[in-house]
Amino acid sequence: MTIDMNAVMASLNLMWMGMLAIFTVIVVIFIVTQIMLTVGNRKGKFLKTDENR
Amino acid sequence: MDFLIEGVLELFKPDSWKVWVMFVIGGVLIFLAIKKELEPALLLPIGFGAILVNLPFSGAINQTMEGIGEVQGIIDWMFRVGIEASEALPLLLFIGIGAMIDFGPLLANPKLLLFGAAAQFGIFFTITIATLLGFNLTDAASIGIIGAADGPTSILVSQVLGSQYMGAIAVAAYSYMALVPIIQPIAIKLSTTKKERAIKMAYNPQGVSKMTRILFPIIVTMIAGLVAPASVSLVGFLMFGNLLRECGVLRTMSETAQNQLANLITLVLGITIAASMKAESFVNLQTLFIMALGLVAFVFDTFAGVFFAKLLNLFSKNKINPMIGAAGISAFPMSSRVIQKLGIEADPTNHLLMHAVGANVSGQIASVVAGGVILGIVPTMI
Repeated sequence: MTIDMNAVMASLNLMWMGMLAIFTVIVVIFIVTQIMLTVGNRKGKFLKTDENR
Repeated sequence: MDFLIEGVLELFKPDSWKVWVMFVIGGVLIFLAIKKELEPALLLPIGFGAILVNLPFSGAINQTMEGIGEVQGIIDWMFRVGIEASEALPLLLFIGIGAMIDFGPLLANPKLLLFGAAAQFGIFFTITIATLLGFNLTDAASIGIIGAADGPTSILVSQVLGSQYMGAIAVAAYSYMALVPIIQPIAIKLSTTKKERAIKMAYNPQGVSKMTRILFPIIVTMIAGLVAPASVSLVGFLMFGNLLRECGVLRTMSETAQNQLANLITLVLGITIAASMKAESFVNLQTLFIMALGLVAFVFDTFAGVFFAKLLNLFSKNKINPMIGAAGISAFPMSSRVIQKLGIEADPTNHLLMHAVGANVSGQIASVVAGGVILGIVPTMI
C-alpha cells in the first residue's frame, strides 16, 4: 500500500472547498426561504404546517 | 454430456473460493432483508443479483460462448444502459424520493437547513482517510460519498467518477442506511451527555403558504444549479418530484412517482447494481476497507452534526438539542426516529420528532448538493 501524498493534500483541499460550497448553497437557500416565508406570512395566506396535510 | 456438470466442476476449481464468498454475501444480504427487514427493497435484489451474476457461465451477464462469440447478459445490459451510459436509474429514483418528501417541517423552521450542511462533513473526512489508505482521489471521493447516506447519490457519483468499487460502495451505502438505528445511538451517546440529550426545544412553526411550498423546489434547484452546476441533475430530479407533490394539480402523477415509479426503479436498480458484484472484482481487501470507511463516514456525519449544534448553542439563547444536528444526515426517516427515541429516553416528556424531521429532510437536500459539489470539484483536481 502506497500513500499518494498529492491525493491526501487534494482531499484536504476538497474538504474545505466542499464544505464551503455546501454551506454557501444551504445558506443562500435559507435566506431565500426565510424571505419567502416572511413575504408569505405578511400576506397572511398560510396554513400551519402540521394542519395542512 | 460434460456440459451438464461443467458449472458444478467450475465451482470446485481452486480459484473459485471467491464465488463461494459471493454466494455467502448474497445469502447474508437476503437474510438481512427478509429476517431483519434492513432496507429489504434494495438489499434483497442486490443479494439475489450477487448470486445470479456469480453462477458459473451465468447467462445474466455477458459471456463469450464457443462458436458464437460474445452473448449479451441482461444484468450487464441494464447496468450499461441504466447506470453507466446515462445514470438514468439513480436519477429517476430521485423523482420518486422527491415526491415522497414533505419539506413542511423544514420550511416551518428553515434554520434546520444548516444541520443538513454540517452533517455532510463525514463525507470529506472519509475521503481523506481513504486517500491515507492508498485509494486514489476519485475512488476515495466515491467511497466518501457513502456518507451522503443516500444510495442513488452514492451510485451516481461513483459511476460518474469511474470508480471500480461501485458494487461495494452501493452495498455499504444501503447497509449502513439500514443500520442507522444501531450506529447513530452509539455515536450520539459518545458525543453528548444525558443532560444535553434531555434539552427540550419548543416547536413554534412558522406558517407555510402553498406558494412557498411550490416555489421552494424551484428555487432550491436554481440556487444549487447556479452555485454547484454539477448538482443540477441530482437536485433537479429530486425537486421535480417534490414539485409534482406540492403543485396540487398532479395528484395521480405524484402518487405514481411515490409508489409505482419508486418501486419499479428500486427493484431494477437493486438487481442491476449486482453487475458490479462479480467475485473477481468484489472479493478483495479494498471491499473490506470500503465497508469500514462507510462506517467511518456515518459516524463522523453524526459527530459533525452534534458538534455543530453544540457550536450554535454557544451563540444562541434558545438551546438546541445537539442530537438534532445528528439528524442532518440524509437517512430519512430512520435518523429522525432515532433522535425522537433518544430524546424520550433522556426525558420521557422530550419530543423532538418535528425538529429532527426538519433536519433530516434538509440532509436530503444537502446530500445531493454534496454529491454535485464532489462531481464539480474532484475532476478539476485530477
